[in-house]
Amino acid sequence: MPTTEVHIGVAALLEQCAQQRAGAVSTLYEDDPMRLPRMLQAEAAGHELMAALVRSDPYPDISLGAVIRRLIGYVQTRLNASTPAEEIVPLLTVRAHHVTVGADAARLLRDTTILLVLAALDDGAQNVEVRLDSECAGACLTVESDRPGIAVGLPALNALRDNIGACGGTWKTISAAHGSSWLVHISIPALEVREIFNEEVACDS
Amino acid sequence: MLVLVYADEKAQEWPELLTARGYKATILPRGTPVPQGQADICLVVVSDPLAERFWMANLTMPTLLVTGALGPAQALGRRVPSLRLICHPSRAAGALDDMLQMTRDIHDGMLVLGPMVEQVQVARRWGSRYADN
Repeated sequence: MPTTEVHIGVAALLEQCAQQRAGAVSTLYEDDPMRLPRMLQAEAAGHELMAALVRSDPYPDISLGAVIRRLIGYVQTRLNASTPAEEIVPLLTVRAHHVTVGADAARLLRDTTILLVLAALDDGAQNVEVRLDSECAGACLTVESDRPGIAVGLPALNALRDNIGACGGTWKTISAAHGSSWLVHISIPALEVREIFNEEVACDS
Repeated sequence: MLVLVYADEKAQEWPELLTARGYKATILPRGTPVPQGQADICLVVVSDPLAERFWMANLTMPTLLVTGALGPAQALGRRVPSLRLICHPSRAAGALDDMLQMTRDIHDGMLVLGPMVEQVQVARRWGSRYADN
């Protein structure tokens, strides 16, 4: 399995390729002056997302909620740019409250969030909501989607589920009572006190 | 007119407002499926409309959404097909009859109405100032 350094190297290479391509394709969008900036913004967001995911602790100075909000924001940026104007852009929202979790738990929750969101989008979800709440003994992550993609046992998600279980956490998949959405509800204990942040409820739309 | 009301904990006075104006209101917990043929219109009064978008997408009858979060609520336009009118609480409270009727009359698209402008108070204030001078 490649090391983290290899991942970072790949991400850096992709970034260089994107910059070169940006110079080459600029003439293709002369009829739509806003198209190129949007695509470049989306591409940059994609690379930011990739670069963040290959690092074990990409933003050591900000809270877990802020990290999740930032990463979901990158995904939303890409969606906004890549969805044709005649189609509805999938809407991702994040509501993050203060949590107290250890470094390993924070990393698990971050990776799980991104994978669940991507699984939902891959299933054609139009609405996805991520909620991060505190519990008396740790943190609670809920990802809700209007498509059942998050409930499918992808290998990567199964591995994360096993790791969360190994940390003493729980993972539940629930169908909403009104039948229009599916939820993955994850509780994870505070293994070590790493961060205590008090964040306002945030909503990225 | 039979009105189904979905209201969060901050909007419990709305069913009383409807009843006082002569409407027959049925209050349902948020997310409850609409009983078939038991209402003419849905009134949803919530402070965070985006958080309610999953179950609202299942509503089938003309829907009036009353919320102070007009900006985020507009993102629901194409996601909640039954949504006809989004209205600020200050306007809806002052002209509830009109808002309900407009919700029934709109058959295509969606209308957004902002806060009520207090023209009368402004006129009185300016009128008084003019009179004093």
